[in-house]
Amino acid sequence: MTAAGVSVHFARRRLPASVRRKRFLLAVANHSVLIAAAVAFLAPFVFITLTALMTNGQALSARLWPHPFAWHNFVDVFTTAPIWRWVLNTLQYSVLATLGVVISSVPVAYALARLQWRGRNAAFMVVLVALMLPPQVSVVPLYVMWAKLHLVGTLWPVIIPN
Amino acid sequence: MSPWLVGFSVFFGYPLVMSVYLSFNHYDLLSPPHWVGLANYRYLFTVDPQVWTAVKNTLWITGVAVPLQVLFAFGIALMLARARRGVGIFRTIFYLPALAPPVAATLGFVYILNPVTGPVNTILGKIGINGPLWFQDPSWAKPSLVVLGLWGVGNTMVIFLAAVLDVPRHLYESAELDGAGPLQRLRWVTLPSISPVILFAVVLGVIQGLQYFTQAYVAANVASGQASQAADVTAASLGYPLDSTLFYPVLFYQHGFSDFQMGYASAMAMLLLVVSFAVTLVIVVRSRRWVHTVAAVR
Repeated sequence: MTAAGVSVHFARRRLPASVRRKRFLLAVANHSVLIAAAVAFLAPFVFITLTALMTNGQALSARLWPHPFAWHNFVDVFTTAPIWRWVLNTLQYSVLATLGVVISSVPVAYALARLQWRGRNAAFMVVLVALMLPPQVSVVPLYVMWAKLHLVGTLWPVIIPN
Repeated sequence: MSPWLVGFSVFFGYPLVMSVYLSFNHYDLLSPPHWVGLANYRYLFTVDPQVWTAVKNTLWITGVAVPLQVLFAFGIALMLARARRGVGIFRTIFYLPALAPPVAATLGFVYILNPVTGPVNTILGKIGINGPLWFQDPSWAKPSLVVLGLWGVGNTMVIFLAAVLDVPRHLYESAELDGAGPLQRLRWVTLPSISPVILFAVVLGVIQGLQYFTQAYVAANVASGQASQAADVTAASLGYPLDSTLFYPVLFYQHGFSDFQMGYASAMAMLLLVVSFAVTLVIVVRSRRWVHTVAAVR
C-alpha cells in the first residue's frame, strides 16, 4: 500500500495536465463500467426480493412493483413449513462437514504439496479423477452401502463423504 | 493421511470400481445385475438416438460458457484491480451471486426471464424491445444458461483478483520504463504472471462444464412447468424445450434414475470420465507452453 502511494505521489508531480486528465477520464470510464455491471448483478436479487413481497396472483403477473406489499409472506414461511427444523439440519450438516473437511484434508494437502514420496503424482491424478467422477455415478453403490450400515434416513451419509 | 485414505477409497474408489463393473451389466436396481459384456457400450455408440444431441449440447455449453466465464471474470478482476474507490463494495456485489445455491439461482432466473410475466421482458417491452422467449425457446435456452453462469462467476473472479493484485509492481514499472503501453503490459506482464490461475480456472471450468447438470435439470423442469401448468414434470421435461438443454449428464440421469437402466447409465458415466480425463490431460500438457511457473521448491 505504501509503495503504491509513493509511486502515485511521484507520478503526480511529474505528469502534465493532459496526461492527468486522460487518467481521470479512464478512471471514470472504469468506474462507470463497474457500476453498470454491479447493477446488472444486483438486479436479480432486487427482482426476487420484490417478488417475495407480492401476493401469489401478483407474482404471476407482469407487475414489477408489489401492490400492496405482502409482508405476510415472511410470516407464512415460518408457519406453513417446519423451517426451524430445516435450518437446524443445515447447521448440523455445515458445522460437522466443515470440521471433517478441515481435519481430514489438511494432512493430505500437506502430503501432496510439501512431501516428496513415491507415487505422489499418481495420487494427485487419482484425486483429480475423483473430481471428474459425476456424482450421480456413485449414488447407487453408496446408497446400498449406507443401507447396510443402517444410516439411511440420517444426516451422516451427507456429512461423512466430505 | 490415513483417515482420508480410508474415506477416499470408500467414497470414491468403491463407487468407481462398482460403476466400471455395472457398466458391463444389465441392472435395473431391483433384480441383481447380470453380465451383458459390451452391450451397453455398443448401444451407447451405435444405437441410442439421443446421445449425439446430448454430446453436442454439452460441447456447446463447455465451449461457449467456459471461455466466456474466464474472460468475464478476468475482465471484472482487472477493472476491480484498477478501481480507485469502492473496491470492497464492488467485490461483494460481484461475489454475492456465487453464494446463491445453484437450484435457487436457477429457479430465480427462470422466473425473472419468464417471457410473458418476467421483469426482464417487461422492462425490455417498456423500452420497445421484444424480449426473447429465453428458457422457452430452443435457440435461447442454452444462452440463458450461459447468462446464469456468468452471473455466478464470483469464485473465479475473486481468484483472478487476488492473482492480478499479486503481480509484482516492479514488473509493471520496469515494463513502463521500457516503453510498454497499457496493452503491452497486460499482454507481457499480467497474463504471464497469472497464467497458472488461468490454467486452474480453465481446467476446473471444463470439468464442471462436461458435468453440467443441476442448472439444466432445474431450468428444464421449471420452464416446462410454466409452459404447460401440468403436474407431469418428469421424464417429458428433461431437455425442455425440444432437447435443447439435454446435456450428457441429464441424459445419463434419465437413463439411470427414470428408466432404471443403471448398467447403461454406468457405461455413459465411464465414457464421460474417460473424456474428462483426456481433455484435462491435453489442456495440462499443452499448458506447459504458455503457463509460467515460478521455480517451485524442489
